[in-house]
Amino acid sequence: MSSRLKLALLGTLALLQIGVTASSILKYESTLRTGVLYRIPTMPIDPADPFRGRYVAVRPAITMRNPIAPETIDVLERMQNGEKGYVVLASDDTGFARAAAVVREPPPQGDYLEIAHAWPEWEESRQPNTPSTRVGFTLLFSFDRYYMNDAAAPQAQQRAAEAARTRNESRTWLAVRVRNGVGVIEGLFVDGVPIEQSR
Amino acid sequence: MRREVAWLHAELPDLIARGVLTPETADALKRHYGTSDRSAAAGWGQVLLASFGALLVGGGIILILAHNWEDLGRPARAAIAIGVLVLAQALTAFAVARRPASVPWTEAASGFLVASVGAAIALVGQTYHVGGTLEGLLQAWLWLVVAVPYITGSSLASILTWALLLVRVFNMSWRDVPIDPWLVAAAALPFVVVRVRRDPRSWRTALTAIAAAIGIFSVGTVIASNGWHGLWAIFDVSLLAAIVGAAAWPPDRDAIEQWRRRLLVPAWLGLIAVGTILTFDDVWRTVTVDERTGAQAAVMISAIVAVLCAAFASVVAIRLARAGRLAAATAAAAAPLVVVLHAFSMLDVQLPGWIAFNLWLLAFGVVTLAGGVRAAALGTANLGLLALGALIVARFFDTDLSFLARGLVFVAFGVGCLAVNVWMMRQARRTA
Repeated sequence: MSSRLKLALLGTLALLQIGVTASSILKYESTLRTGVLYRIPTMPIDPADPFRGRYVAVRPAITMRNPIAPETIDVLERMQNGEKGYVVLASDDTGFARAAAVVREPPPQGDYLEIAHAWPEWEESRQPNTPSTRVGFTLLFSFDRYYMNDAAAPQAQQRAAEAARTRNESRTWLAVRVRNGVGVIEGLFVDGVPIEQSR
Repeated sequence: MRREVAWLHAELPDLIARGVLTPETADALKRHYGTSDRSAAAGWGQVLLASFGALLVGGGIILILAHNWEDLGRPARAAIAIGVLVLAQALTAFAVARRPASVPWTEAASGFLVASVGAAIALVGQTYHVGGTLEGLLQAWLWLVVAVPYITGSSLASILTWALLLVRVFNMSWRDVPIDPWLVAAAALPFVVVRVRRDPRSWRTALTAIAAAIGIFSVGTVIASNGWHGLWAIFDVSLLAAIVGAAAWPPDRDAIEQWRRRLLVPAWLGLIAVGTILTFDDVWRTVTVDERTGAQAAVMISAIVAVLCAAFASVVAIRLARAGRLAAATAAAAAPLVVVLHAFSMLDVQLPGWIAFNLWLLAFGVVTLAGGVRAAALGTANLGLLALGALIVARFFDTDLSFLARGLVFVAFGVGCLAVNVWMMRQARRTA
């Protein structure tokens, strides 16, 4: 292989490597700048990734309670067999995100996110030998990590856990910007205070 | 090897003077076997230091960024991610354009590029809190660096690719076995084949071949363990037997290429380990057929690779047996044996499986020991003893013999091992 050809191939590979990195940056940056802000309740724990560092593992979830429309149940049940599903977002009276609709294809308009998992919620019967009843679904999303400073993450996680234990009304949520099906985490809050400041 | 080449270089002037060789033939021999001087040793050290340095710098950057500096804003982080990547690309371009003959430059720059791609992806993921598992990160990383060895000719980049693939398969989702580890392996393997053909005697080729063998072994074993009971055994035995066959080639003489010699012993040891596992009847009882058998594409690829390896090992086994190299032939013959016995087990006939592998391990041990004693090769004789020892230890666990009987067998075998070693060392001293 001649030196020129090698350089041409290296140039192509370099553009691809920069392109993948830069397109990710642009996609997330534009979502953060122009996306609509939603608050999604979550529960943090604190593990580490060997390459990306320490993070607070979050489990942002939107719960759908009965009654649920039959076509929505159909989509959510199909998701148990590996099919895809999307949730159209709206805000409830308290300012938290709620599911306005669940659909099989990405909607042409509105703020929506792909659902990573949809778990059925069951309520055990108080009567013996009576089966449990499905009372709704919990929708989970692909953004499940909030990266933090090496030293700050364990402290922040401890504070969040303490707050949840000592105050029943304590709430932890993610501020997520949503645009064209892309959701980017803007911040993690414990009782309205950014987790970085709750140390 | 360098000692033999140095001897040859010293002999050449005499051979030319006596008219045994023409000066042209002597030059051709020099070119063929390469240099033997100290510069080669110095080059080896330089390459190692440069590669190690590049890896430490790349790995260090990843760790420093993983600390997650709170004071750095998003634009600064984006600039660092792209900046480190561009720096590594520029260094690699410089090495390719201006230092194409410098192995330390090429290896170090390519290794740094592979690490920088990972650092850039990781930093973007960290900055924007991108979810997803380590599997997803490694998947993107692998596809962005798999072409680097082809462009730069770097063995380090190839070894790092196989190492990343190894980490990738051990972080794989088990629900749906992905096909991409096999695709990455298929994309990375031709570089190893080209290296083996072009530079069969270099230690860099040997390391690259070992990394590729470990990578393929891991990909196949992990994927084959999912959804097809017992396929891992066919894959492992067939691949290891094929490696023994390739390393023992050509049948009429001992291998002189580094990569063949370096691969042979690990493959031999792997075969003894897997062969010993297959002497237990429980392993064969787990071979069953259900609706998941062969339902996943990645698992089917493992099965196809295993069958191709078994076919190659069968042909090599016949050629080696005809050439009188019985130990290598017996090792390679394990591949067709495991395929046939697995087929029986799938038909609910499990008894022949563990009986045959007990006999195979016994035959393998005896033939290897005898071959080692005959050729006065202490290493080979010990491999034979290891196979026999593994068989005895395995039967220790599942026989109803008394502790006294088992203890006596252990002592007798241990004394036999020591006696063979002492006798062979004395023979070697006498002939020296």
